[in-house]
Amino acid sequence: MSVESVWFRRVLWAQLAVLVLAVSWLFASNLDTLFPAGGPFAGGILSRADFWRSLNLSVLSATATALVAAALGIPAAWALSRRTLAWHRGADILLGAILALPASSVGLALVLLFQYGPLDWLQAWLGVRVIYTLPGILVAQLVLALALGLQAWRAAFEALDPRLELTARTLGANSFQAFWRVALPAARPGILAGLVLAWLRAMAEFGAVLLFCSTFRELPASRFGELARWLHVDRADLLAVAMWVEIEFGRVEAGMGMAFALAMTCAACVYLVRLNGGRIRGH
Amino acid sequence: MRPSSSRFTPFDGVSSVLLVGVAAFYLLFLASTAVYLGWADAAHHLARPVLWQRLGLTLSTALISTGVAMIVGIPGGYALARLPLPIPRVLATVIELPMMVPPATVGVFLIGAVATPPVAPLLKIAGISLGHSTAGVILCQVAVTTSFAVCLCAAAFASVPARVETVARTLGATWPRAALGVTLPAARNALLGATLTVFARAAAEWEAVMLFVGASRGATDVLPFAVFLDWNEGMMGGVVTMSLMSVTVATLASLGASLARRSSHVG
Amino acid sequence: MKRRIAAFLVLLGLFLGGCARQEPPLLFHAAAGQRSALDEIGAIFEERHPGTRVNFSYKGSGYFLPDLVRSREGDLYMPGEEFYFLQARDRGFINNYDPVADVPAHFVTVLITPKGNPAGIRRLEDLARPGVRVGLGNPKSCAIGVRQEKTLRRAGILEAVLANTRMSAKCIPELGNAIQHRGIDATVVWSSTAALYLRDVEIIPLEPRYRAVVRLPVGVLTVSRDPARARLLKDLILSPEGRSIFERHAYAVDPGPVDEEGFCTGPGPTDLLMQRLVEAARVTQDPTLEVDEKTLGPLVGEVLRQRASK
Repeated sequence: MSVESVWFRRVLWAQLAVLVLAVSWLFASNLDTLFPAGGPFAGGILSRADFWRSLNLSVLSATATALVAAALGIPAAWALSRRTLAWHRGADILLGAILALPASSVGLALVLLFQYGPLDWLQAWLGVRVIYTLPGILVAQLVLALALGLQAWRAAFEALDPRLELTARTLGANSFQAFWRVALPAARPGILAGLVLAWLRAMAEFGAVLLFCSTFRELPASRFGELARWLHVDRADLLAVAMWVEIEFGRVEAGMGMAFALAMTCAACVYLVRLNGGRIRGH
Repeated sequence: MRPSSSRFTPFDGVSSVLLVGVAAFYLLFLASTAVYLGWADAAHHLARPVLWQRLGLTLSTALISTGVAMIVGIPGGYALARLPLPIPRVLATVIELPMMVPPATVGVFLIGAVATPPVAPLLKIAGISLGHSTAGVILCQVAVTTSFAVCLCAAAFASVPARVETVARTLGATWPRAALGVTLPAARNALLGATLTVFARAAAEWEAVMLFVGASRGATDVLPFAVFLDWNEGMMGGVVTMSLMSVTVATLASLGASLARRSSHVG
Repeated sequence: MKRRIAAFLVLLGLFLGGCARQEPPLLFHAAAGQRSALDEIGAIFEERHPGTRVNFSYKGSGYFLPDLVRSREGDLYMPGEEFYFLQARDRGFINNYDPVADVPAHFVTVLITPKGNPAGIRRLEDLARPGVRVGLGNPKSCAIGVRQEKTLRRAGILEAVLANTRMSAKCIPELGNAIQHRGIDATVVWSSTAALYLRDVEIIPLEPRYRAVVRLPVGVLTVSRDPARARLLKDLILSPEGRSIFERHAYAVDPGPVDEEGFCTGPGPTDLLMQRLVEAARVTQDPTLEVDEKTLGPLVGEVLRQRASK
């Protein structure tokens, strides 16, 4: 091994160390805000019922969104993987564009879609409204979580060895069996990674929910249905939204506490995926 | 493209319907902004200079942020892709974290990050004030996109087989020369795609800006932030026009990235 | 490659250097509902004093005090109700408040519904009808929320309306948007907010005992770093020119007789404002109607602007 190689490798490790240190410091430099002099830990959020309801709402809605995204997206990704190249390129551009949209444009487009045009008439006919409701949160999260999931699941199916399916066909399997018994199990790490990516993206949703659903914390309990109260998601905003409200009111300790709660939840998720051998790439 | 089975099942129908449905929804989603606005209203609002100022601000800050992010990302991504030992899981998690958490959270963490040493004294010496300023916007964009850039570049370099470098080295090149002279050009298209994707992400960033920098007309009202601020103004036309500009930037960047990535693979 | 890196760093340095050298603008803390009038006044001020910039920080009124206490930054202050102004004065942020001279205009409350009035709202009491989707402001964060609570309590329907509440807005423009997008059936807002949505709302004046007239004082903050220039802007706001701009945006300059809670005690100048507002909405929505300055008064400009495009 030459001298330059050794030095080069050290430079690479050093770069990595700098990256890790910079990111760690971004988070660690805020730890002292959690312990204000003369005040409770993290502004006392741990003893506030609305904090736990917010956490609940974030986790439950992200989970629900990820499951819906999986139900819609995994079959759709499978269908996409069997299409022509033109479909793939189109999907590439479309999904890339959706994922590059700012959250405010996503929220605005949702308002326009649901309050004007065909979806507006449909809702009027059915007598329901999605805007400014808890299910609206799911819709807002779903737009991006589904797009991210689709990218990941398509890649997972694409990476499969075509011979697996060929063999299955030769043995008499129809297309559903080829999907359910061959492709899905074989692509399992990629499928799970896509699921987690969708969950994380749903947890990270903030701007679109603000524009499409507004806030829920100050509404009276009577305004929410039985289910919402039983799940303890009534009178709560998403954790990211609640964090923003706290910062706006000047309660920086509480906002920082919520920020850490979010960061730790996401970190735990990413770490668990790696523990199981998966890897998360991309957005 | 996968082989298609000759034995059709209802599952084929269902999955195809889902695919077409999702594609139609996303196309409608992108188009809704333009459809709502109409030509006359679009022309009326596009004639207002403030929209173009904001577009200019958005593009210029995103350009600078992308530059910084790629300066960190290209060497960092190379390191991630080429290091002989696998990186410990904890470290990999840490590096990926800024792009997994909500960007608003990154904005909140920046509040403390710039108030503590070593950054705070540096800023004071340089005379830079980050609140309500364009420099603050750039910092937010950099904080949100750097991690993303590193991971995208790592993927780009990983697509070039390590053998290529080994071969170059057996022919007498030193490792730095092999990396710069062989791997970097080979990954060029993928890196271009990564740059465009990072640019789109930087141009779409506003949540961290809202929490960390605050609104200041002319200095921090990048397009996505301005959409949120003017949302409360009543003139939907202006808001939707700005959103249309954002959507166009995102779509063009995605198109460019897709073209770049395509030319780096062989079908 | 190295040259490109160097070029970026130079650009970055210039940019940041440029940012550091800019003259600090005047920071104006104003209520979210004031935006229409103050933006116009700010533009005139910037024109008359080249090199000066005014940066408006629009928020819900409940957020001002925490922000001021934390940042101790700001040159001017004009919240959505006198209560918040007095709050700041008691904390030492305002000196020399003259309750007569320092109030350029007033907010007046009015009931609005989406165009076509889908829930058939005629009066305030209709908000308590089951099934009506009402939007209210959060009393902790915006002035309209506090005023709505007082009004509903006066009418004895607060509990019933709370049960009907579909959204709790952080600041008043959210309520206007919700009406515009037909996300709610009715709400009570300031007349100046209603005037922003003439295309998409139906205006329903409140009877005098439920119609609130709210004082809007303006003042220079004690923490201002440029009190001389700030005072110039304050003078512009209080001048006849400034007051005429407020009138053009459907504020009430002359409040008429008002009780201690801020509600009208009988007929007064706000009746004319209400008439004009109803007419303005009607004329904006129907392109065949003529725009007549006699019936619309100072609202003519808004009607023409909103007729021109979305």
